[in-house]
Amino acid sequence: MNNSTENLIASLSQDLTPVKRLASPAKRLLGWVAMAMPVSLILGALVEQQSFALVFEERQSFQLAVERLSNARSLFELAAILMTALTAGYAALCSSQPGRSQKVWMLPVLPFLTWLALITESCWQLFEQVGPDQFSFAPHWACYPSVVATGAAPALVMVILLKRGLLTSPTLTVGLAVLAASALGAVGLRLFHPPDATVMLLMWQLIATVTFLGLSSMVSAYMSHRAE
Amino acid sequence: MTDPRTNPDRKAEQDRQWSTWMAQAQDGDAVAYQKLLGAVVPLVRAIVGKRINDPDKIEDVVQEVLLSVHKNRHTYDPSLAFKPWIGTIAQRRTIDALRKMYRQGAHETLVDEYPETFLADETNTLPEDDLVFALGDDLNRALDTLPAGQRTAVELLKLREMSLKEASEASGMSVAALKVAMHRALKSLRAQMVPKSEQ
Repeated sequence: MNNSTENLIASLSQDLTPVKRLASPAKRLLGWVAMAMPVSLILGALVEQQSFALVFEERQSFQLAVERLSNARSLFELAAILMTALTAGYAALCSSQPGRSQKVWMLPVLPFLTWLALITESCWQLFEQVGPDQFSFAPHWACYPSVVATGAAPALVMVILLKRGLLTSPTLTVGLAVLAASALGAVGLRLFHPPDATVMLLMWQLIATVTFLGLSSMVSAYMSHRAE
Repeated sequence: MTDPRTNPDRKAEQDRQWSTWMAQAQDGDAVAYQKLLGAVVPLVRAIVGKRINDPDKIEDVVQEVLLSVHKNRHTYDPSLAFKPWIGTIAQRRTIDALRKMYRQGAHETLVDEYPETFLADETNTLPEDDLVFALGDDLNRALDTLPAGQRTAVELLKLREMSLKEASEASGMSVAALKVAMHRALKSLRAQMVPKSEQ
């Protein structure tokens, strides 16, 4: 063995300190849902409550959530969104731990396709109702506060969890994390936001999550640099 | 003795042994850790050698992998096989090293003779004619005279280009201690390596 490699091994072994093992992806996923979901739902409900108070005083966001939870199609869509969040989150956390199978990226494919199919169906129904003249993919700026409120916590907590691991496939991990955080945020959006979830709303959700992940990473890198 | 690379039972046994050593290392067992790092070097060298041909460069990347293993040893789950874990890290660090080499290659050109810059003789004299520090042996001799702490600081911060935080994690020294050791090492090296013309 090369002398400098031997020296390095000796230096690394010297004064070795015990480390806290990274928890399993399933435990970290539970932690993510337990921390991010309540915050996302509460913030989403509060923001929507404000919007309702301004526009539709007679209705409350809570009533809308109850209506949607009693509707079979809405429930099915919520299940697909939640499954997308859980499977993508699990896959992202697995991919941040070396030695685990990289094939886990396939887990969210089916629930995500189901979610997209349901959104496409909603869009088609809307298109048939309002016609081509009224149908638009233009951004609805009024939806943005809700997107931010529901998406912030899932993205921030996911960044914290991923930073404890090691990104050996950064593109795959970040892609899965964006999908997971967007989907968990979309649960609150689907429950409390009055317009149906459309492709444009999903786009906003993805863009917002990418922004959160980017900002969180930058802040975290800055803090680490300062700590040095 | 059977070669573990060709015997599946020996391979599985070796993996179990490495996994046990790693679990012990995670609990702070320095002896198990030293055994493990010494044992995995041939495997890491083989993984790196598949993509990089230069033997010096291979050794550099092997050391990068060992540092990465050290920094991320908390990510190993003892219920899983050990080789896929270290294999993933070795492959990742090799790709990083190749990217770095390609980036450098795109900006640097090897020349047989240094281009003439100014007419004055001093500006066109090869460094090894004038400066003691251009001779690798002298640098090594000067480094050997440093106390262990200062030598570690130079090796990690300057030769391996680690950040203070990484060097602190790798060496177990505090950031402040590293800064002090580096400062003293540079002062000492500067004193030993004055150009011949100034002596």
